[in-house]
Amino acid sequence: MWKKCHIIGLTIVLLTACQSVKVSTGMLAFKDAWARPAAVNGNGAVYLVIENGTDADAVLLSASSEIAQAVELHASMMNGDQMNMQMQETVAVPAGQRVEFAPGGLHIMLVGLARELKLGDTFNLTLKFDSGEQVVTVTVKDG
Amino acid sequence: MNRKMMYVGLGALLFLSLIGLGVYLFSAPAEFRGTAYVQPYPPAPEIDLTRSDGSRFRLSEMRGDVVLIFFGYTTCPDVCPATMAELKLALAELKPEEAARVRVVFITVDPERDTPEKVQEYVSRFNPAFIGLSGDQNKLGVVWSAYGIFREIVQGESAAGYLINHTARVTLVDPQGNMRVSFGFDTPVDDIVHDLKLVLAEKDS
Repeated sequence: MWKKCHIIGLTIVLLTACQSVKVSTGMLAFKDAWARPAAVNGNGAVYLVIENGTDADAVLLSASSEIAQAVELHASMMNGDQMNMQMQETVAVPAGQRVEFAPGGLHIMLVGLARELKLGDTFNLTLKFDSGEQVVTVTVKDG
Repeated sequence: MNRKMMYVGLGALLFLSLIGLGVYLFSAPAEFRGTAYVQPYPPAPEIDLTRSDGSRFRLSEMRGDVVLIFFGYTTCPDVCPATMAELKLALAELKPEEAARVRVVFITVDPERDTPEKVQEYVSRFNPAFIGLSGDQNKLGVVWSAYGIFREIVQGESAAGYLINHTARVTLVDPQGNMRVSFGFDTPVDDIVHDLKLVLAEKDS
């Protein structure tokens, strides 16, 4: 019994270790897509990790969703104590790399929410890459 | 003999001084993890604005409580909600009797779009006890400059209309009305909780 547990444990450790190695899964992967609760007509932001496991560089061109009137790519940048937000035309995800969209950095801005975002809600977000479109499910949570 | 006694005396004096120094160093107040103000602590400039329910808000009436002040705007999707969410989490880490003595005040840098009602509704989503303030540009301008808030409207392509570059720092005002410590964006929640507890535990407060 204990031996079995150890083997399972070791397998999990090995699997986890493999993920931290350079991404080469042969596909674009999306992890932990989330947004904070927000009011109807208000704005929001989607955060996620994009892993490019392919041999080719990918470029995120735009994003869209029925949840908002407009969806835009933005980056917040702290310049000392000053927060500057800048709209991004595209976001590059080089081959074998991961790009993190996180609070205080890159984010996908939801402008004019069609409905309130409540804890536990989910909605779809379409990400348009140079190589095609991908749909990601976003979960509403506190962070 | 006399010389020997003198050496013994000097040794004892040195020993006692070292003990004294140790006691002084180790009994010095625990340090803030945020950016601390040095003594004499600067008094927090007055904030005198009208709340969404028509009542008057004056910072000077918050004596006895710890006040956390942040400047932002409700169109902001990233840094402002992230900061409010952090403060919400920090208060949740405190004991209820401690949290009851902490006020969170969010002051807009966007009076053109943020009415007092809109700001209050925005912060209430994080915690119904949070206070959201707006007002006319002149009154707010006094507060912004008193707190050294940089604010710059940026016209761009966004469907959200203009964006505002602004100072994103939380200032902690102690129960005597003095500025004691401030937190830059992305300060770990644990550090904010740590510093809140230090101020709440002070004897005078």
